[in-house]
Amino acid sequence: MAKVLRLTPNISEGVGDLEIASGTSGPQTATKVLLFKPKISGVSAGTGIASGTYESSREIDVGVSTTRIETKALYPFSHELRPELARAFILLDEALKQVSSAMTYLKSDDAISSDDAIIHLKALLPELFCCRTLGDGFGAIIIAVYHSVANMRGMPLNLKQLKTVWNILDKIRTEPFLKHDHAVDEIMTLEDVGFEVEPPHYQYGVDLLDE
Amino acid sequence: MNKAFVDTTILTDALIKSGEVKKSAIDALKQFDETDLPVFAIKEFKAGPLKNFAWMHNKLVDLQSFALALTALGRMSRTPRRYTTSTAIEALREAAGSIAKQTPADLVNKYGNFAEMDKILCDEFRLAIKTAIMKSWKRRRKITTNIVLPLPCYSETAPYVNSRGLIELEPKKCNPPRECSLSILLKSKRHELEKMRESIKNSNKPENRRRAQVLHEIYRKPNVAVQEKDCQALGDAIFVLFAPDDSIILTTNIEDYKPLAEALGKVAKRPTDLQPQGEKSETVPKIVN
Repeated sequence: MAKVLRLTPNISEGVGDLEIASGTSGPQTATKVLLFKPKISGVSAGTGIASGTYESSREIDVGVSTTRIETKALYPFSHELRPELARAFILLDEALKQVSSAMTYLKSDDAISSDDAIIHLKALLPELFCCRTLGDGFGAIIIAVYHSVANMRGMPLNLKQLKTVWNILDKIRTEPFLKHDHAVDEIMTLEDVGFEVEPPHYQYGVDLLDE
Repeated sequence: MNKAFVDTTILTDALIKSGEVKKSAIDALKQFDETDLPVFAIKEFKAGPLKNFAWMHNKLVDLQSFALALTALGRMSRTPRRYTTSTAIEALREAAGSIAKQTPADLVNKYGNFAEMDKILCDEFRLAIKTAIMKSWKRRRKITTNIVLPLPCYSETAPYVNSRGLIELEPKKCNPPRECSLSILLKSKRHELEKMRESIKNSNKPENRRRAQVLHEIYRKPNVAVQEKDCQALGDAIFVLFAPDDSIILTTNIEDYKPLAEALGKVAKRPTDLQPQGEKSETVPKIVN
């Protein structure tokens, strides 16, 4: 059975998702590549939403390997084409480092150093939010993490909460163009460990919008 | 067995509100062994609060400005529940605790207008609303133990984002092939409909006058088809009518529910009317989670 690979560039330049349209895990051979031709418009730019059609290439033999590729390697021209992506990687690396430190300190009963690491994490989140042109999934997660920490009102995070924050930041580190719908699933894990993910002024908006 | 029949106000508070209001709704639900949510509540939730949330999101997409969107919100909003309009608008404008307040001004050189205060506030609020809408839809069937009273004429389609970044909520209404799918059940309880009508026929509220009119029409003309707009007008009466006799109707809108419930010998309560966990009650068994 002929397998088909779809190359779907994100509507922004220089990045794309490669998926096998049919098939199972393990090494496979594809015989046809469908290249996605995006339609870019002013209102859709920056939303991470692509629309367009697929065009079929000539038949080729493509071997699919199971070698793990680093996320950064998938976006080789990010500095030139998407500087905010390059910056997001740097900031996310730092964020993950801070959360890892927080967990290590907490396991060693050093609550003060753990909390200090989270203060450092919170301080870099505003700049991470400036990279939200990557997509609503990215932006929603950064906002949710920021307010999860901020709404603790100075109380330290426990180990479960730290681990959840680490997981969610790692998720967007691996999938910076995560769709908003999937981001919602991740945000719900923050609520599951007791975080309030909405901005404080959200309640006033809700009150005005509730009939 | 301690049972609750849950209305749209509780669903809204549990799904889309925050802080103490949300906690109160969720804690109230936990006080019952069984909680029934009719699909009618999901329909009302989508056509009501969720519709307004989607409007706010789309307004922020359209205007790309928090300040302008707040002005639009101030003009459109009805009487809020907990705060006056001016208090709520002022609190939103202030946006204390916003990520925008922690964003260094020099980031504008690096990120352009994406680092400007109004744009950050706009996107922050828009994403919070968008996430709340999608989260609420994912959870809508998970906050009670049972989903009851299915509506074959209503398509429970998830909200989605169109190619222009706007949230779409259609369909919000039922689409019955001939008449409302609840009509047979409604007509089988004609005498209850008339009792409820008697309890609200002298109300000054336009909503109750319309409700009384529809109740009377169904009672008088059982052979006439019940339309979608009639079903919508019935609103609270649907919950009171179909709540099992041995259940408590859980709502925050006690003012409208009480006369309807009393007309049928049923009980409606707000979350704040319930016995807190740990206190003994002679009428309601203590529930331990």
